[in-house]
Amino acid sequence: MKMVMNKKTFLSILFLFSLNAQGDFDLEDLNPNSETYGQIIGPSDYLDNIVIVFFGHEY
Amino acid sequence: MIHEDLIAMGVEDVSIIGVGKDTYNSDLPGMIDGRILPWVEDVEEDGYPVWTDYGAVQRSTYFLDRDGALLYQFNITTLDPNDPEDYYYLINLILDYRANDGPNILRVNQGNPSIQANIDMAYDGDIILVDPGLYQGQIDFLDKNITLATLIYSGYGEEDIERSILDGDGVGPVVTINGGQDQSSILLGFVIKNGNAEESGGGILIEDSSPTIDRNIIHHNQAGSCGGSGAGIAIIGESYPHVFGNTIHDNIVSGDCDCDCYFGGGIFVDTESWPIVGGSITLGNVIHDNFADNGSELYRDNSGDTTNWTPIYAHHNFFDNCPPSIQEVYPTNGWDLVHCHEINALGIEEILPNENLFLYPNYPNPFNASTNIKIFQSDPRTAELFIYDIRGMVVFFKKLESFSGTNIINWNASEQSSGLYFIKLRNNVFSKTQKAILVK
Repeated sequence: MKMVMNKKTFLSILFLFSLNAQGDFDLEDLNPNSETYGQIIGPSDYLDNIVIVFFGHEY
Repeated sequence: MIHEDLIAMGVEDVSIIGVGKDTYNSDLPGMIDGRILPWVEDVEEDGYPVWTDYGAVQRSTYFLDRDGALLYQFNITTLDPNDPEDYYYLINLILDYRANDGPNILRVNQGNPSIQANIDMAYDGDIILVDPGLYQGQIDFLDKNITLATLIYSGYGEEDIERSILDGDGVGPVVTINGGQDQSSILLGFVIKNGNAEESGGGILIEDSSPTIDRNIIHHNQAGSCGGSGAGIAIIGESYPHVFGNTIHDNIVSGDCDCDCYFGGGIFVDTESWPIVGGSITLGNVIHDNFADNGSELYRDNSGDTTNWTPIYAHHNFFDNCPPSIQEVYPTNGWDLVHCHEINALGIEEILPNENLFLYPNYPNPFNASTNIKIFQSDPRTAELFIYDIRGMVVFFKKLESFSGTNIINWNASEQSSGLYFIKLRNNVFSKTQKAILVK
């Protein structure tokens, strides 16, 4: 629990809040395991959902 | 795995998109291995416009609300989803934001008396809670996936069922659901009466839609003029609704013409539809004293090719006779009536589970903010009831000293966060577990 609290405290420093609309994009889904593989997608395709956009290029 | 786990929990309104860079394409297999999330790549030649627009760095994570506006952003580098504590922190963070940006709950009461006006301004996923009272006129779900429920939904008690009345006032179907709804559209807990449809669906007309019709009392509705069908419920077009826990009685299909053209006094199903009617001893419908020339209680249209027909699943429903006669349910090969029950002269027979310990589905479920947990134990033993959150923490415990028979425990979860909970009941021999969903 202590570890979680420390992380929350640390993360709270990093968190930024904004009410601005976020930019949409349209790019091809490259994951063959995804239901939308090969389709052009972006956040606007998931309106009415909570959308989490994760940026990463190396694992 | 978080995405997969959310889906397994029934959380289907959270989407995750991964955004990489095309210059790191050689790393793509590692980024998507074993994952189902959509993955796109930003383009170096264009100057990485998406990364630039978001101001993202490696492992930046953004939560967008249901309108696409930014809710929250952070960098996930400090968290390891393979670490159980970090995993639970992340999944609860997602569920908390989902709950905060969740469905609206609209109230229909003396100060806001029109159900239809609330439907008109509702959005998909909204919940319309109706105070007890008499509501005259027709209800149309339009094209919206919404829940229309009496206060039973919020845990006020089943006695509210018979106090919330939708009265068609002798005109049209009382409730029309024909906007392509899915099973997340729920009609729960009403008396539905005095509808009068010229053709189909005096009480409820379901067309090209698949809602959940749950624990309503549907009676004294009429369908038909020169031919007609489904005085209680008509299910037509490509519809796959769930119909359970309802009482359907004294609905009449009749008309002026002297023809063999009046079908399904209680429920009518056409050739394109395939509902689920009943399902378990706690989900069965009570269907009696309806009238039609063909299939007074249930009728399935068999005018098409029935060679490879799959019977409609209709287990654990209650009829005057078990099995019902061919005049009551038609045709016999169109319905799977396994485990039907007979209504006896004193009312509905009490069906007790043939097990030492039985944990019924909690009701309401999903719930806000309290729910009732009904349990049954055939032999006197001490039992224990635990409720766990998704992290495995016990959030409720009750010891039930030696008892036999039925017991109902109310759990007030007003202090808990929205999300999935596990209800576990055990005695010194058996253990049973159910899932409960708290929606605030």
